Amino acid sequence: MTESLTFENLESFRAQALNAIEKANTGQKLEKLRINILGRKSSFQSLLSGLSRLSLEQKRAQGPRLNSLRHELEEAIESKRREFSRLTLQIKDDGTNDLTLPGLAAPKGRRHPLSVVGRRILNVFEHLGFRYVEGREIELDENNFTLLNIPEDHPARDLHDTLYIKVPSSGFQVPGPENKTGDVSGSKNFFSNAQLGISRLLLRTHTTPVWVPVMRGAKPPYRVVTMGRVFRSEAVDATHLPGFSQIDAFYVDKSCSMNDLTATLEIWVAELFGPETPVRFRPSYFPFTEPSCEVEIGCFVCLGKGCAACKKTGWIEMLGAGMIHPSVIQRLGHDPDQWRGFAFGLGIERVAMALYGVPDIRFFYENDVEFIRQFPG
Amino acid sequence: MKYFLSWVQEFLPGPLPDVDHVVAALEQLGLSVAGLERTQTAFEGVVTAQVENVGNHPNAERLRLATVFDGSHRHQVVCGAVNLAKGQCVALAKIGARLPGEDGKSFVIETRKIRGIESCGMICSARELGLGQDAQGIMVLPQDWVLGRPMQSYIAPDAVIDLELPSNRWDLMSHLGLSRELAIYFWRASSKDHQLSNPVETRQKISISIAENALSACARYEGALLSGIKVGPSSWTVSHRLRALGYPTINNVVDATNYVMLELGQPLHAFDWAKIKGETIQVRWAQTGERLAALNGRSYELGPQDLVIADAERPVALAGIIGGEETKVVETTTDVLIECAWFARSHVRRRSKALGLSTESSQRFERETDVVLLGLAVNRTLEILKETPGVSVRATTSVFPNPPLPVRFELSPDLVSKTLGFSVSNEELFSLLTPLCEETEKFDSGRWLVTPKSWRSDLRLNEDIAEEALRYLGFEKISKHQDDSARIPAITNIPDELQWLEGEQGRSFKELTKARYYGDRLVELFLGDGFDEALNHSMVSGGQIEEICGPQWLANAVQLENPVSADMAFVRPSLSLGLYQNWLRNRRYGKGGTPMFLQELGYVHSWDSSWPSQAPMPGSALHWAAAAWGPFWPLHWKRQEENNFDFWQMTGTLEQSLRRIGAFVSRRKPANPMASWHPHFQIEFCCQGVDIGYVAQIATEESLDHRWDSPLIVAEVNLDRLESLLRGRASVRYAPVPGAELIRRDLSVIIEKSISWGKILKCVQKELGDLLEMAAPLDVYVAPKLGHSKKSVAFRVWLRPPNDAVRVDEINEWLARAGRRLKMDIAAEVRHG
Repeated sequence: MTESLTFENLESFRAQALNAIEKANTGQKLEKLRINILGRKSSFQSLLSGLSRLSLEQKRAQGPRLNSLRHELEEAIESKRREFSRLTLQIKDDGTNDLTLPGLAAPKGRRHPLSVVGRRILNVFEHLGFRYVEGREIELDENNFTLLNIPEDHPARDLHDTLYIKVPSSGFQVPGPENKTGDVSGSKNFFSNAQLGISRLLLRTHTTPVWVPVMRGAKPPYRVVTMGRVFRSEAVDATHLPGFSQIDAFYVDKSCSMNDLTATLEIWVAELFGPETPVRFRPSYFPFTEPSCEVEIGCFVCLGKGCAACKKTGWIEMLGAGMIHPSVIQRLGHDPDQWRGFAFGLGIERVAMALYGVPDIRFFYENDVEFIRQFPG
Repeated sequence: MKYFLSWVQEFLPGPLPDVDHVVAALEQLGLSVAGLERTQTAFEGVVTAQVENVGNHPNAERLRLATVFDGSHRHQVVCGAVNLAKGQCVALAKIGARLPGEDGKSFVIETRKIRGIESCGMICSARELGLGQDAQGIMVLPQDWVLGRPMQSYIAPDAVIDLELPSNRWDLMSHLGLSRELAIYFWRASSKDHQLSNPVETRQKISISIAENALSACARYEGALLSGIKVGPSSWTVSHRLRALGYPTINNVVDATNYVMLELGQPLHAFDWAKIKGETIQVRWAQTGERLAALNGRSYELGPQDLVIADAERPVALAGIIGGEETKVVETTTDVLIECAWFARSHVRRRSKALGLSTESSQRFERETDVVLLGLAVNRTLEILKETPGVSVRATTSVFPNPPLPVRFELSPDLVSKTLGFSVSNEELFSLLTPLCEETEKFDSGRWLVTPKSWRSDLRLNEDIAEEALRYLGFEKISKHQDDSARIPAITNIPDELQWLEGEQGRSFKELTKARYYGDRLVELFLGDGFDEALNHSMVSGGQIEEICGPQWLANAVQLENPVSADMAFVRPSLSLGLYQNWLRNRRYGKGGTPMFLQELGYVHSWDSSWPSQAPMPGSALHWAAAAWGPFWPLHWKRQEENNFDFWQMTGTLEQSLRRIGAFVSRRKPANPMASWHPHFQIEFCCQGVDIGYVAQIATEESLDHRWDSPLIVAEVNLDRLESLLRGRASVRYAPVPGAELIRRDLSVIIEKSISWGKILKCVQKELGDLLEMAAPLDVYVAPKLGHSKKSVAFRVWLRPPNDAVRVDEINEWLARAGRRLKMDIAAEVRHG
């Protein structure tokens, strides 16, 4: 199409163009052809844009002609394009197209098993109307023990071998009976335990201290759940770590009873482990609840026959629970004759170990990538 | 604690059911059975016999040859036991006898040659007969057992049960205590009091005194002086029971005190009266500088905080904890003082902890002991010791100036039912209270005045009685009522005030929970980028803080007073410490080829004064952190090039993720870099001018090791700070989707090396304003021909014209303006791409 396009040779242009379109044998060639014939820099376009300079009469004569030619060419190109599309599908696969080759994706990470289990447990409680609140890992002795009915020298403190924090004496004002500020001469000075008394700092031994700000700050009724790290001064072995995770929930209302507590926990077990899971309650002792109980569920590994997971008893201990001790309710500012509460708590590691058959609690904190990636996080 | 079932049985009103029923009852009572050892008489053909003669084995030094008489025949037996002696009454397994084997399979005794000498039978240890764990020597039987009788006629089947006791039930730490529990459970009755002779009263008294200022720590002291004691082995019952429960047998006097402790729960002590100076006993506070050489072979330096038992000159025992070596009962002792006292639990607990000395005695005192029971305990001890002929009680003395009044409280049976959520009938409740209480008085008001027994001082409230009702009635009682009456929480409105309560650092629960929510979002987003979630211990070593964070961080770190170990002596101030350890682990374990992408959400603490904190608490914050090392893309047939996760991938991923949770960040050079950060690859992320986190390459000697061609990149975000910056942010508003298409143009500038991409971007933004949709660097290179201080930066801009009818010359004009601005502001030499 070297000669310039005029209204006169339009017919031959049409024939040539249609012929070229017909002959095009690849999509790319067709696209090049389209740009050549109808593109912005094509002779057809310049003819089209020259239309405006013509007289009205000529416009009337040539305008529709050019337009219909353009439609015709566009249609020819479009139909050829569709033909190519259809042809693509008709190409026979000669076997080079191996669809079993691996697909490509950026890898997806896994949740930590303790996080998976913790969130599952929490979820059920949140569905039962418990509101999540966040506790703190470093606590006052008062909140962790004294207010929860565990005074100094109480034998229950044995169960909670506590990790205490050294409190630097420089620049800190210690509230309490012996309001002394220590020697400010250097950062290596620390308060002694006796100076600190109930405002001694420690790594919380359970998540239960979260009761303190909630009950002191708000009037019941409420249901609250919390989750977090707790710490005990324990030697590391297959079932013990100095740091592990707990979930703690409590409910305070005008009338609530052991009956309501057991019913709530039975629902929780059914939601988490399935409705057929047997549950049993046994009396227990916690200083901050009275009556207290332990909740055990039928071993889901052996279905009650006895195995390593349940230490051959057929039962797995799940939670500690009970009615909030009236003196705790009183200490936290409410009338125990008017308000009652129930509470329960559990260790997440224990549930995860039983659920996945993990034999050693230490595995959870080693963060071996191949360990974490085993779980359906 | 371990219990002999037959011993418990002695106090019960009727015969116990079989062991399985007892175990089930104990479980229901909340007493976990940690161990059960049935001492079955799983043997046949074992008879009592007497050792008539003991000679040496001709061919073996350690073996001996015994002639044993079973009442009708004599047998020659080879025996290796060290305690074998002439005249002993022993258990003889005759030829054909069947014994329980160690592996559970029984075996038959046959005639056998041992080192060339024929042995016709076996003299048995308790363990060989399955009667206990004691395998130290042969079992020595009482002399009055008739020779030749089958052992079964003397030893009945029994069981030793090991129970885990709740820490408040000190009263259960004895056989009597357990029997009280089972008597109520099975019979709703009290246990039988021990059949005791009348209390021994003597005219002669011993000088015993309790210092006035020590009465709070020692409320009662009973002493009994015995003479004519012959120190020797204990009786069969005493030694058999002690040994089977795992206690050493020492001599008849010490064994008797231990026996009574296990039976009644009251620790006792025996002094050799001859060694007590001045024939006087004083309970008093120690003086500074006094010492006690204790029974455990150690010497303790005492002070005014230690309560001691002293004679006229010196301390002879640490009250409630341990006796003195010098005054202990020895073979030559003839006169013995039995001490039976009540010591305050808090005192014993404090001192036992401080001295790191825990004994059978201190463990009981520090839980509580029954002050009322002391008389019974003394009498029982005397009863056992007087079994030996010649022993007489010379004097007894009791010091008990202020006997406590019994504790009473008002009980409302209605409230018991209310706490339980089902009704317990008054009859049912009363039948439980009868054995638990001295007295239960019913008032017309429907309330009862109850006086619990002295050993149930833990019963003080309606709720305590409710718990007892649950224990003895069983939890099944609840499930029977549950269907019609239990109320299960459903989703309800939680009072709004709860959210605004103060939590950590005076921040509301809502804010704290929101910070965790942002953390969870970040975790989810990074899961999508291939980061696994890790959980590390909150405790780290000082060395780790110093290596990764730096000495200033260590100086401010929160230190534990009593760490479990040196590598857990501090609370972590940064999550990067744990992730770095994880990298060491994942790499060291021969997994050099496996990439590691980890992230963690957790609390960090520091005394650093720049951290927000509320006295006396250290500062704390919820952090999120990630560490990446290795190729990001897995090996794949379609992607040939290696793609190690690097600094820019981390900054990009974090920036994108932060944008997803609504935080637009800028970058700046960190003001206080951590010690382990690579000097060239560290950046601080800021939000509204406040730093919220960082991205850095870790440059320890380990991580820079040339064998790893991949850098270790760490990022960390302070979520509490992020939350406070995002708080109160205006909510997102709709904007119309732009109609005009984007126009793409490339530019290239040659500038000073020190000028950052951020500056170039700012220039272009300043000039083009809303026209500029986006700009991205394409290539940065340096070359000699540019000059040594110059670099070339090629970048692409995306322009968004106000409408589609934009002309090429307009676009060119925009670019020219940008070029002029670049030239003017940062002296760039502009080349259009």
